[in-house]
Amino acid sequence: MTTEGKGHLSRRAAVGTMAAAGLGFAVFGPRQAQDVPPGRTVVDYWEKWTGQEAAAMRLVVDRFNRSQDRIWVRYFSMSAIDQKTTIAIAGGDPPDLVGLWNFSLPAFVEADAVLDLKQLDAEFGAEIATAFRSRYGDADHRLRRERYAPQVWDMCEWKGQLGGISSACTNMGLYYDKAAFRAVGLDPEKPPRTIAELDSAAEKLTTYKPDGSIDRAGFIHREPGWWNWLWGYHFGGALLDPATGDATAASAENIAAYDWLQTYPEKFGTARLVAFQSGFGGYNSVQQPILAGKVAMVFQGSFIANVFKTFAPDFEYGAAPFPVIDELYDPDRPIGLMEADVLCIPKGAKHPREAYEFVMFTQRREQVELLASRHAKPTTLRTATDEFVRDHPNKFIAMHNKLAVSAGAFPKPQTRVWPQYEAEFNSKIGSMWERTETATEALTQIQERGQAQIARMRDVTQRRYGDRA
Amino acid sequence: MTRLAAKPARPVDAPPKPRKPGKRLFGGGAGTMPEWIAGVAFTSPWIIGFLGFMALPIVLSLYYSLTDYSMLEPPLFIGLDNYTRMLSDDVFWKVMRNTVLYAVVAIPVGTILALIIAALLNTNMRGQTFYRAAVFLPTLVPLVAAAMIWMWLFNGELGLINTILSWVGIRGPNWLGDASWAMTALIVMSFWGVGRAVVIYLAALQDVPQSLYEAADLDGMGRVGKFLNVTVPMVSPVILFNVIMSIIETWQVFAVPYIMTQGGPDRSTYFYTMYLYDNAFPFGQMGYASALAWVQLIIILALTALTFVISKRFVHYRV
Repeated sequence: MTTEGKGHLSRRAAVGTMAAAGLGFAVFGPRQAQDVPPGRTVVDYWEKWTGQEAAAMRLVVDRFNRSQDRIWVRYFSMSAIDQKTTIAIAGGDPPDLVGLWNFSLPAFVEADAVLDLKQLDAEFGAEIATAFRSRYGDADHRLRRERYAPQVWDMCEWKGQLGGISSACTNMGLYYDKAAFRAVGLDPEKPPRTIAELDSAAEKLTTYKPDGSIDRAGFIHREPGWWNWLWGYHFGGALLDPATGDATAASAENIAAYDWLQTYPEKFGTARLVAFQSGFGGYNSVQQPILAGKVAMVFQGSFIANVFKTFAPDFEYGAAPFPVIDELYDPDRPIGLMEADVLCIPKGAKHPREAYEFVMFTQRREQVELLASRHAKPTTLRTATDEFVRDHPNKFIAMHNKLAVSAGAFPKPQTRVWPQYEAEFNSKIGSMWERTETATEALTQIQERGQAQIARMRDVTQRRYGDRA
Repeated sequence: MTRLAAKPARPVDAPPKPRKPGKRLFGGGAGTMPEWIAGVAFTSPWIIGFLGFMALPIVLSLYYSLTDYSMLEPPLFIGLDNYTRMLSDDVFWKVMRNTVLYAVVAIPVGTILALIIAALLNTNMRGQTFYRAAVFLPTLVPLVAAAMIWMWLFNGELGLINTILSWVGIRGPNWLGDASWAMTALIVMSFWGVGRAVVIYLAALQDVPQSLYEAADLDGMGRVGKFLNVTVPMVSPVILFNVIMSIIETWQVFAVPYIMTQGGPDRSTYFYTMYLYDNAFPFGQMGYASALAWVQLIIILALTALTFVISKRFVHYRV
């Protein structure tokens, strides 16, 4: 470096240093993760999955990229997808495609932040169908309600707008350890069907150490603790009034459900249960509580089969729809929570037509079944092939497929203020579990706060959109 | 072709050649860029960064605090609604209470603990360097890693803390899962980072004039007397600095409770900044979050000003 005198930097040296820094950045700086073949339109796709699930979608993306020479889908796996998408949309630079959760959709649709796939289908559907026929020999991908499991379609449609379409879905049931059933004299082929049967089995399956602490719990509502709000649905309750959209957390059915929840710490000892549960290992690990013999029955989704497969391939498990109260039991109308991963095209996307073509590709049965199988989830479609059921990693996938098309399947409550409403449940579940509050007290407070959020949102929407609201 | 004459060699003891005007970026003189322009040009990356990433967001957040803003829709002006809403928001008062409780316990106890450790480490003892390093080392551990370690230490069934308690016949609580113990656990964990303050106190202690201790010896003062009457007054400006930094940090506590308890159980460890974050992102209420941020700033400024006022009676500055 040329310098003139101590403490003085010459212009040549300054410019040279900056040029060297720029050159260094150009040569050694960050690179695009994937090289895009020349001449292709790049579709940026943000997805929330990581690990095994992300790798499965990568397969679908790779298949699409290989299947034609006009579009290149660039796939990014990231956390906190809804927050990042919100910020990207607010900043005016959204990706072409995002994979959101179904419960995020109402906020995006009401804010007019995602494109209506029905409109895109009207615009580009026929053209893409023609291209698919020539490319794949059929047009097995069209967005028609009758093609999908009804609840899956309903989760993607909000206020008449198809805000996205599901790339994968799942539903939840009762998973249990067959060996534990056998050990206490229960028939492992007859899982509990009603709440009363569940209670009876849980008592038999709960075992204690010599010092009186719990060795294995038959069932714990708070394992894994991801769905603190849903017990009322298995008692015939709901969290929103379907007609008015008002909060109904403190309905008689919900109170009955949480009264039932409180019988467990009452029976098994609050302190004992809380201490016992604090020793549980992580979900995706060999210390997974059901694998570690800590619990015998657990409320879980179909995807847990991948955990079993990875950490204990010989684990003998059973699965069934989660029990309901006697009056609701109907083997032909199982009740269970449904969730869906939804592909959305944000408003402001640079290549909506190309993004939509990729979405259509993901809706072809072979891609739907590939993704569902790798994720250990049921199909999003109304029917499944025999091969899908036969080769699926979850031995009970037929049960999950049946649940997916059941009229008793229910989604997370669809409201724009769901994150706040759910947060109220998460904050109160501890006091209900520790019985420092009765179910009635806690649910009344949850309902009041949930309703206040709903009312505030309605007020703001009215002020913002007037009659359009 | 003209042959150039060889340049005559310059004698080594010759005076330096005068600098060519105009080549230097700053330094004054005819034909040079004025100093202030050069200064601004060289600091412009920071100035642009400050304006773009600090000043503009600050101004915008003040505006957003007067709006309903989900980020997906344009901001809707609602006046002071976000500020008045706080008054009737139970969760706002809950996080205020939690944050104040945490600050009221963690700051004084942490300050006293750090000062005592620093005083002990300032004495001549064997292994002094080792102990100093051992006290400072935890501050180098990333917060997330530290939080994970403490989650296991506090584990109700398998944790080391309860195991040790069980040796003396005490059945420890489920620290992080029990609403009445979770805050205590987080306060205890906050002392994990006390080493940073200890280092600052150590530096201050070494600056206390030895003559004062000698005078105290002549007066027959004991060790405790010397600590209270000599050491503490002499390091009081440093105590003030640490207390102010602690006030700011405790009002911004986020990562550790977010990882260890997510604010639970029953919002017993839900802190102000966590509520602010939840409103800004998961709840999509950037307007309300901005109002919370401005209230937080005002609280921190007020507490800092109050500390300065009170400090006039207690802080001793050497002239």
